[in-house]
Amino acid sequence: MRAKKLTLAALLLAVSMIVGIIENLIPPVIPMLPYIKIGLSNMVIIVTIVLLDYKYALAVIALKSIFVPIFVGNPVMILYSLPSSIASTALSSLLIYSKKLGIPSVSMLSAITHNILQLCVAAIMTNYLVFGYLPYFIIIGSVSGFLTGVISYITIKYLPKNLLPR
Amino acid sequence: MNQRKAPTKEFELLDHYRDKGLFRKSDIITATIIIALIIVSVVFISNREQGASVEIYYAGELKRAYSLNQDRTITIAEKGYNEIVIKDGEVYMRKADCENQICVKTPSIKYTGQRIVCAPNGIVIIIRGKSELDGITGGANAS
Repeated sequence: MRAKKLTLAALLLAVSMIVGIIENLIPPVIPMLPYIKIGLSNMVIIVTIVLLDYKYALAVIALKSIFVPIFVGNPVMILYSLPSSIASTALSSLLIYSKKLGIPSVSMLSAITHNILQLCVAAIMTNYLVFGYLPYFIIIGSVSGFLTGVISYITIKYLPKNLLPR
Repeated sequence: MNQRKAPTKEFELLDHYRDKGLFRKSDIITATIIIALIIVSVVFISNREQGASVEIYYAGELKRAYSLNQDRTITIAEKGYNEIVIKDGEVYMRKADCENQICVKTPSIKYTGQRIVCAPNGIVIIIRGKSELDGITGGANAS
């Protein structure tokens, strides 16, 4: 069963890396804000927490945040992606384990946290002049978090159980 | 029987979220907070006016300030090389030697508070409004 879990985790890591690389290849969603990405790996994280557990999710997101920047040839991105991804995954884990909120709510809060933390990293690197982006990041985080949350819910709801390790 | 209980506990989270719907009553709290945040954000964004001047920061310090009325090209060679163009009241980054080129891809800016950031080279360009222009010429810190 451990081997099966590990296989599923590896599969989920592969999926999160593929969506991460695709996100970097497609042009920015909104040309005015080139930093914005859809945050597709958010779905993979929520699904990983629910199907496996938070430890696997943290491992998946940490490896994804290190490998994707290397694969797309921009290692500086690790500084932006790693802290915010780990923090938002930790928040999602707490919220999902508490069983108090629906999946879209969890996903929105996690996306907004991710965006704010990423802005904080950018603020440290450029000395606090980037917070003008905050309103845009909050709006886009809520919209994309909601959409990825709904997709995660559908995945969780309709994934055949016999595909899972038991 | 105990042996059979272990696997069901394995799917505790999965079963819980499968049984519940997409939304619950407690989501109203999250929704309220997020809608409030969005309203505040929209107010901030829509509250913009035509800019009057442009400020260029390097490593968080104001390096130069220009009026938007005069067309010119500014080159900055601090950590890296950046070429900034002011044309028809709009500002854009024409060239940069950073690896991600996000600043070059950013469309031109003209409204107060809009900015172009070149994080690898530590350059930030911000548009300031008329009311703040006096503050700059007076030497006060307008950030």
